Amino acid sequence: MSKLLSKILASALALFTCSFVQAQSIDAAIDLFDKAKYNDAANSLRQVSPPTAKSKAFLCQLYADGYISPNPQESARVCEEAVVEKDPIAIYLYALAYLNGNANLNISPNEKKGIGFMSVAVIDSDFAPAYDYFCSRLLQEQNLDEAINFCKVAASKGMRRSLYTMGVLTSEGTGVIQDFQRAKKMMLASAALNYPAAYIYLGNLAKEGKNGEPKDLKQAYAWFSLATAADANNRNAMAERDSITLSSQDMIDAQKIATQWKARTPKLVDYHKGR
Amino acid sequence: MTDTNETMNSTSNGEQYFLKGMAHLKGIGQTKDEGLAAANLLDASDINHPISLAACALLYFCGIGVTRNTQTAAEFAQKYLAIEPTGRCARIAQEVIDGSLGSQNALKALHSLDNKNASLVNDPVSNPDQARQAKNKQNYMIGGGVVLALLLVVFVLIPNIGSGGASSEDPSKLFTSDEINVAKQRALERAGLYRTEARNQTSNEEK
Repeated sequence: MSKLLSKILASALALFTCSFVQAQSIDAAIDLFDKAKYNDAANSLRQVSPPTAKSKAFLCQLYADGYISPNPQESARVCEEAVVEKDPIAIYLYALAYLNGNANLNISPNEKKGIGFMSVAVIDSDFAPAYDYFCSRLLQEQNLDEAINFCKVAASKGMRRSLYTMGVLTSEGTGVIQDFQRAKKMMLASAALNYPAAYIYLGNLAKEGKNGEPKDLKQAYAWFSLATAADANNRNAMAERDSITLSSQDMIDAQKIATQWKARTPKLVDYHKGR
Repeated sequence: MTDTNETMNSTSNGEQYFLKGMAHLKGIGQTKDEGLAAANLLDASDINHPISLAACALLYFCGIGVTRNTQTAAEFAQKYLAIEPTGRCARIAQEVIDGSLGSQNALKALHSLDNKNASLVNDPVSNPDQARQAKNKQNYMIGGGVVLALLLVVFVLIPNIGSGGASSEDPSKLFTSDEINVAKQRALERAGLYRTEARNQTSNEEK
């Protein structure tokens, strides 16, 4: 009896230690990824023993997004295994790879297959980025009624693009009841995730003083500055910012507002961190 | 008539000695001198001035201007109680006799004797029961404060640490649960159609 008990205890301890070591390696890989040490991150993931669906999916992402040099054999193996093990990130990556084609994974575009994988990410994994994808796609297809359902779920899960989309629809009263205050809250939530379009929307609100908002050029300058910082190629935001004339002191205040907001936004959007 | 006049004179003298003694005790209008204070109060007590008897009880109880002697203090207290058993110093005198009066409370009472408006009995500090209650109340308030502070840390501060977002708006709170449930149901139906279409196409391609 005591031998059986000690065996059970030893097995439980081994299992716990194994899970702990696996989690440690994945966390180490995330840290290395954040420090732009992509090959080291990949090596850290390869050392996870036995490999988990999460470690394979992360390695698959490094290949899919071109962070590490292509290796068709390993990328195909880790991605397919992670998909079979129903890892939501791997399913989502495969969906995007089939929708757009992905040379790094050696996958040619296949619209239907891509949509199939994306719908699996919604149905089986309740994966927020997959809802976000359908929100955007259905809006492009001008299927507003269907799009709004996906947009609402994605926005409630903190997807910044869907938050912005719902903010625009709520502000216009398109497909939903018009509500300026609610729209502004959605825009602020999107801006809190550093979404450039939300900054521009908020900047225009403050600049023109519309939708019940007071005119506030200092705040408008800050929003346009944030938009420019979030997307350096956004010439429109830069032009809007530079069109605002402020006194030296007001400009310093506006820059302070923008700096304080920026300091509290996440550095990068990363599925592995639940963003 | 002569007796009445003598009594009036002794009361008047007693009051004068008492006031002079208190003036020396506090150093108000006279030099501060505990010895002189005790001497005047003892003179007043010799002619049975009631408050001076209580004052002498407290002087001996604390050892102010005289050598501390709780026995003598108790004797003065008993003399006071014999004259004014329900007077304003009765409670204090009783505590001097049974030894339950604290030194701090005795000092405070002594300095309040010449203030007829000051309540010696109802002062929570001079009443052990009320003092205990006040102490308990203080402890409960401190305990309550500590519990509230802990609750604040556990339920408000800790959940906010590292929350990171620049906005105070939590995306999940921007929609009602009914709104999300309906939207999710419809989205899942639509995704189900997409999946079926994809499966059909894949099986057609395989054929």
